[in-house]
Amino acid sequence: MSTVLFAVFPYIAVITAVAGSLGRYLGNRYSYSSLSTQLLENRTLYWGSVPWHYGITLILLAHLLAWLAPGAALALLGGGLRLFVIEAVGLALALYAFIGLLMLIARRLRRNSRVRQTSSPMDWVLLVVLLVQVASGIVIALFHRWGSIWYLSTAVPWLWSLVRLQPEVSTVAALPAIIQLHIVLGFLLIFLFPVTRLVHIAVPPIPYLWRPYQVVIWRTDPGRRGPIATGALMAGTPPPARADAHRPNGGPAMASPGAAPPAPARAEEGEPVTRRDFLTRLSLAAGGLAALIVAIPSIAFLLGLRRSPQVWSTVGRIDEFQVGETRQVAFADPTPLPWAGVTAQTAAWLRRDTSDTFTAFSINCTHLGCPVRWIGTANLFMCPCHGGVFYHDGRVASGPPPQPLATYPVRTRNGNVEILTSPLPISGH
Amino acid sequence: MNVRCQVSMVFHLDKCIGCHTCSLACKNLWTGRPGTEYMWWNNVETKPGTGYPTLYEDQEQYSGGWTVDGDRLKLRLGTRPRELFTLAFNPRLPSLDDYYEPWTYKYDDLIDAPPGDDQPVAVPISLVTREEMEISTGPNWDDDLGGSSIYAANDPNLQHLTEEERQRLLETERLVFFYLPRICNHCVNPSCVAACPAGAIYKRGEDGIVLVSQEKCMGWRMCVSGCPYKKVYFNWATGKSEKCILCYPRLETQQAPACMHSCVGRIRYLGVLLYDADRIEEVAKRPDAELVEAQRSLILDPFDPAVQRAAEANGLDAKVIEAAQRSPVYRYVKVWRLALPLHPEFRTLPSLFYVPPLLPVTGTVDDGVYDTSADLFSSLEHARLPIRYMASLFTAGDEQEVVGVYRKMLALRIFKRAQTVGDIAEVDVLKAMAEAGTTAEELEAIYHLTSLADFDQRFVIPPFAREAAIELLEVTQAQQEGGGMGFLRAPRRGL
Repeated sequence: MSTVLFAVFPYIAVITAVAGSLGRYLGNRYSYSSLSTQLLENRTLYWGSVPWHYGITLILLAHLLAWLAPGAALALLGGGLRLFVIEAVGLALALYAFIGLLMLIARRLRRNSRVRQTSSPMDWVLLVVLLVQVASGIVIALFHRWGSIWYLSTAVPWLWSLVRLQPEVSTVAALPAIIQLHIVLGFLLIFLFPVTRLVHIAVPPIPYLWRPYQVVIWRTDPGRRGPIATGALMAGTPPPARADAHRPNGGPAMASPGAAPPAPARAEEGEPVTRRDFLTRLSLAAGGLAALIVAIPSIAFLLGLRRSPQVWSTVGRIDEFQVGETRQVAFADPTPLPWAGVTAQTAAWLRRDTSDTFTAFSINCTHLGCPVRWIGTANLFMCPCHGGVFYHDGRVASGPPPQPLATYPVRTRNGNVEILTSPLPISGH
Repeated sequence: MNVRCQVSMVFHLDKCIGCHTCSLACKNLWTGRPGTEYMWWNNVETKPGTGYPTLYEDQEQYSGGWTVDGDRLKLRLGTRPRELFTLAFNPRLPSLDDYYEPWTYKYDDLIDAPPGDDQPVAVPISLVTREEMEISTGPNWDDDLGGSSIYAANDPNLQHLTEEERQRLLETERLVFFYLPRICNHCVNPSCVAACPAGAIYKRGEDGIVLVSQEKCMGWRMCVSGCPYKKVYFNWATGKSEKCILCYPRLETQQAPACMHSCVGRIRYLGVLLYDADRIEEVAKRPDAELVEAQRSLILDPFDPAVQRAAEANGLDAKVIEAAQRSPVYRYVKVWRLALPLHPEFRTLPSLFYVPPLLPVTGTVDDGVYDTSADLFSSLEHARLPIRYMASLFTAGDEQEVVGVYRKMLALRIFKRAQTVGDIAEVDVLKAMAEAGTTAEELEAIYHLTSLADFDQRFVIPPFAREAAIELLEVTQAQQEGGGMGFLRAPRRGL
């Protein structure tokens, strides 16, 4: 089940989103926008659309940036006060967006609502999914605090394992159901992207910032007389005459001597390729290539052809550790991302049980993945996030953790202690 | 000199009888589809009045058009990043209530009602919600000053009048008004185009018609706010903006636009103007008082050989230049200086010009006696609508410009009355002509084009060269891959 939800569905969702959005853009660009209802209803929309868009945009950006740059995010969250402020701001933005969403739904439900007339079935599906998604996010923020930290050690490694096409579902498979729901709904929204009004996110009018104010389209090229290449758009002043003579139905016979031959794609009909055709094919080729790049390795994974690498890392000399002592040891992620930053440096708690046996505990709490600390005086591991406590041997003493601390295999070689590490910190016992 | 051609219009307000035939011709042809019922690409307003949508001239509220900030021409909507930040909710957008909620009636009830003591009634139902509704306002609710205490009294142009002038207007509010027919101005410096984040609105290079690409339009609604004349409309059913297309399919086949063709009072003229596209920004930045004259200076003389050479170098056909020479708009606007743009202070350089209505006092009632013995063509100071009001509408406040137009129009009346009735001394005629700075030949020409002109003189549409038309068809066929022109599927959204 976890494999289907967290290793297969995300790929299906992303491939559907990319291919579907491209297909809709090329095949039905007319519908490629969000149907505005501001003309029909103005007042509630203000209290709905503004909080919704600003709230959800910032929340999404936070999810995205913490995923892309976990190192920077961890550095930012370092201080206790900063973590608290960020969590509080995040929760406030989520509530802000939630209220906006409720307003947006209410104005469509109202009796005699003009807006209801323009609501399509997919609008309703989307609104319901978004409502549950934002609500689950708020519940998580309230009842599974410090998400900005544990997100980095649970969802982020998993997401990157998806990107690396070596899906490792163990970190998310152990999460509470509400968080799993949040993750699955997130990918459901990606899945629904091409068949809802969400497509407007894909075409933000950024070029407006630098295009000329005025847009002028010429049917004929003023410098040359007669039609120009179809669909050519000239902003501002007409450009100088074009050297090549693309003539409809003209074919090679009408081209001037030395002119480039007609594009090969339609050479047999003797017709040049129009710009629209060219762009359509280019986009289809690019989309197909992208789908292929994603599809081949993911199918390979599902067939079990790919395994994540496991590496023995040296963490110190045997005589550095005393029997009965638990010490923090640092090692590097065996397959770090180029931009992982400080998150590529990870750690474990190493305990010398007897003169020749060691136990290496994962530093991540089994509840939500916060880093646990060894309190020597109490002989306990304590988690700072939600009060999880573990005995010296990793068993759960109290708090929310569902299972003992994960351990790494340990061996001694040439007087060094080595532990077997994999790209994900929690990978079984 | 970068010569371009612009299809332009003149509406002669002295001849408008406010019959709305133009509006209906347009409505029947273009805006009967779902989502467009509330749109009137052509509408006729009563002035003084607040217009359609209500108070559209008040740019404090809607931020349409341009302003000059130091040396820069800026959209009143604000900077481009600011515009993008208001995409989710456009605070400058009129709502449907500022236009009106379109409706029809349950006509079936008139026939299907069971026998009873009461007359059956056709209940109005909204064309948006399809539910029964209370009609509170309509597209022309203040026609002929109906409800003027609400509508006319709120006309933004009255702000420029003194208290005394407003008093005088209120005393005669039931007596004086005129009609202002409006279509898209197809501006030379369109602010709707400049405000469109998607780049969907464009100006056609060949004739200057402003169109909205329905494929590219993302429904961000900035054009509706950006247009100070509120002549871009949002289709709530398709989520796209639509506007007057100047009946380009008719123009391309040398027919006058439907509104102009059907005009009962023959108030409408259409022709092309040649203008210098390199000077657009400079002209649009002039101070308010110079705007009308500056826009006139933008229009080039099609008889000038230098202009003709530059036009040909820019690819304009000889037939276009010839049409520009016969253009009635060129004569009204540039030669005779009779036609003025609506609200030039919006700085969009509109291509639709108006000959202002002449509303002199021809008689007074004193102690119950109707007295016409006073100076028949009374002085302009006693015009029934203050000059200042006309200046607020047509010249950005420059009263001298309006006075100049009125002097010439009065001279024409005196001149023709002396000819046909003969009760005016020749000295008075010559005096009026001298004051207006006009000649007998010019007045005859104005008289002819105003009163006698036939169809071909009122609408001078440059022909499509046959060879260009054939090439155009081939290009279009190639582009549509034999499927014909226009939409290949019904413009329905679904998602």
